[in-house]
Amino acid sequence: MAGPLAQFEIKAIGGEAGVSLAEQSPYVFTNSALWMVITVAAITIFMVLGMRKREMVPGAWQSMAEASYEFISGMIRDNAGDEGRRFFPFIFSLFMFVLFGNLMGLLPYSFTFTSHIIVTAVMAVFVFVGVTLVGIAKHGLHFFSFFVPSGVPAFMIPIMVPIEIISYLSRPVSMSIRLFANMMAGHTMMKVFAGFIVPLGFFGVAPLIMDVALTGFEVLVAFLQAYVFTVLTCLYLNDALHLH
Amino acid sequence: MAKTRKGMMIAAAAAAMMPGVALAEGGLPQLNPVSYPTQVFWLVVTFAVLFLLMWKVALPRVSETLSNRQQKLSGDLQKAADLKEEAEKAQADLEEALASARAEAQAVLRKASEEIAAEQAKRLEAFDADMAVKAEEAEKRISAAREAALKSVKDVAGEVALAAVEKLSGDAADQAAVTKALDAASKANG
Amino acid sequence: MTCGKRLFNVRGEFQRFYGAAGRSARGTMTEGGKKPSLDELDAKIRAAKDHAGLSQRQKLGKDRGNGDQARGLSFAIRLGTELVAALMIGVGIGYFLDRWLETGPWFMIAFFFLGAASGIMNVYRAALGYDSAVGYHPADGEEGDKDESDPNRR
Repeated sequence: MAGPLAQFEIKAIGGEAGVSLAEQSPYVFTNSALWMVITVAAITIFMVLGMRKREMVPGAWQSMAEASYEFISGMIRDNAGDEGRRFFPFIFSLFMFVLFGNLMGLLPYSFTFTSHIIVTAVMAVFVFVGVTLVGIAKHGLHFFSFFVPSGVPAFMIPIMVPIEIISYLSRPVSMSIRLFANMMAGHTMMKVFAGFIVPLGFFGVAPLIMDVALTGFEVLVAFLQAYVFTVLTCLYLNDALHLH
Repeated sequence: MAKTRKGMMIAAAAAAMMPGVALAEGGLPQLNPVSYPTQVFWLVVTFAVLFLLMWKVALPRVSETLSNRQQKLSGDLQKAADLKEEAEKAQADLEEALASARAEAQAVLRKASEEIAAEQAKRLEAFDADMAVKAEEAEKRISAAREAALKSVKDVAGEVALAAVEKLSGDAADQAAVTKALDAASKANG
Repeated sequence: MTCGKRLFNVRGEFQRFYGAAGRSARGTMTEGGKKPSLDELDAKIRAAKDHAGLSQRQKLGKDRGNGDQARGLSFAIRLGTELVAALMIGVGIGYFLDRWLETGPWFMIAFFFLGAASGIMNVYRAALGYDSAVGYHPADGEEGDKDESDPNRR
């Protein structure tokens, strides 16, 4: 039986036969890539087909599509203000990508690409660099006053500035580690419990129940992590748009 | 091939930074840098596709639908308010019309009853007059008849008296004396 | 049904009409007429209008309520990583500075403490609800801005 971490293995699909991943092309299609494609397809189907009738009185599906729109719209409004509205398509895509990636990772035999640090790190770094560029574009060099907290005695500044810079740089790290670690921990735990079900025979009911409960919990975590990732993006954007 | 080597170099550099990555083959697949290039590549590709699809296709539809609904909602509410106002006006008109109709009807009724009363009064008056005339005539007729009757009674009495006198006395009675006596008698009788 | 109603109405009118001689017609009219239903309609329209007009503001309030809840949960999730992430960045910077300047472990030690301080500050700020990691000011200032901004921003 495969270990609990085997589910995170990246496997080439297609590519050169009988060759380890290290010797494949860096653009080789993998199970991770497959589930990214499936996620994008699912989001597109959810949004586009859900809205295909554009009914005045929406059905359940259209309501869900509209609700996700309004959810992100409200999140940006509350956390980044009006100016954040411009970034709505990006933030919406980000939220849906992470959310659907998390949720579809719960399907049996699927792959959770958000459980890979490199994926979450690329997204977090992209947000980080993007937000920093937005801040510099908007405020010019004044943006760097961000790192000099006001109301701090002068002699403290040499200490405070590095602390602030570290704090700023820690944003993408905490964002990516949080998402990756949560997704990975949940999936590993489920797999560990699942591994006990068959060997325990009758008493396998206990880990089975545990897994059912965990699945419900993981759905919540999937949503919450997507929410946190997106809310933090909004908050960082807000910082860049409205310097304190 | 060059790209592969570059990917491996990146992987190696990453491995150097991460302690414990040498164990990656047996450890966490997430820390195996070999998989990084393909994951990054496909992440960028798929996310870019998703972003474009959302930006250009999906989100405009949602926002269009939402704003249409908002417009329709406010439009319908405005229409409802307008219609309500119209209904109120119509009701006021109706009430007014009803009130005036009622007043008119009352006037007509009053007029009719007045007319009828006048007619009746007139007719009664005419009847009264007619009756008075007729009564007078009848009275006249009665008195004439009475006089005639009285006269004929006097004549008959005179004749009876004459005949009686003739029978009693045997000779013809004086016509004038009888008449005179009868007049006195009728005067005494009233 | 409609026919019967109409008939009834006609009869009502008749009664009202013929009864008008005796009592005031207007009194019966306002009591038995359609005015109450119109008032009801008016109330309904106003309620619907309020709902449509205020829905955004109400929804905003509701969203914020939900947001606060979700924020509370997300806040709990954040704390641990905020601390670790800052520490990692601090140690990383120290490590590279040491390698670059060949200064032994000193930068790493110094930046370990700076990173720890930064991590604690992250947690402290998050705990106070300042939310964003950098800068001392609470987010209330621009929260006010958000409230005043026009309602048709979406």
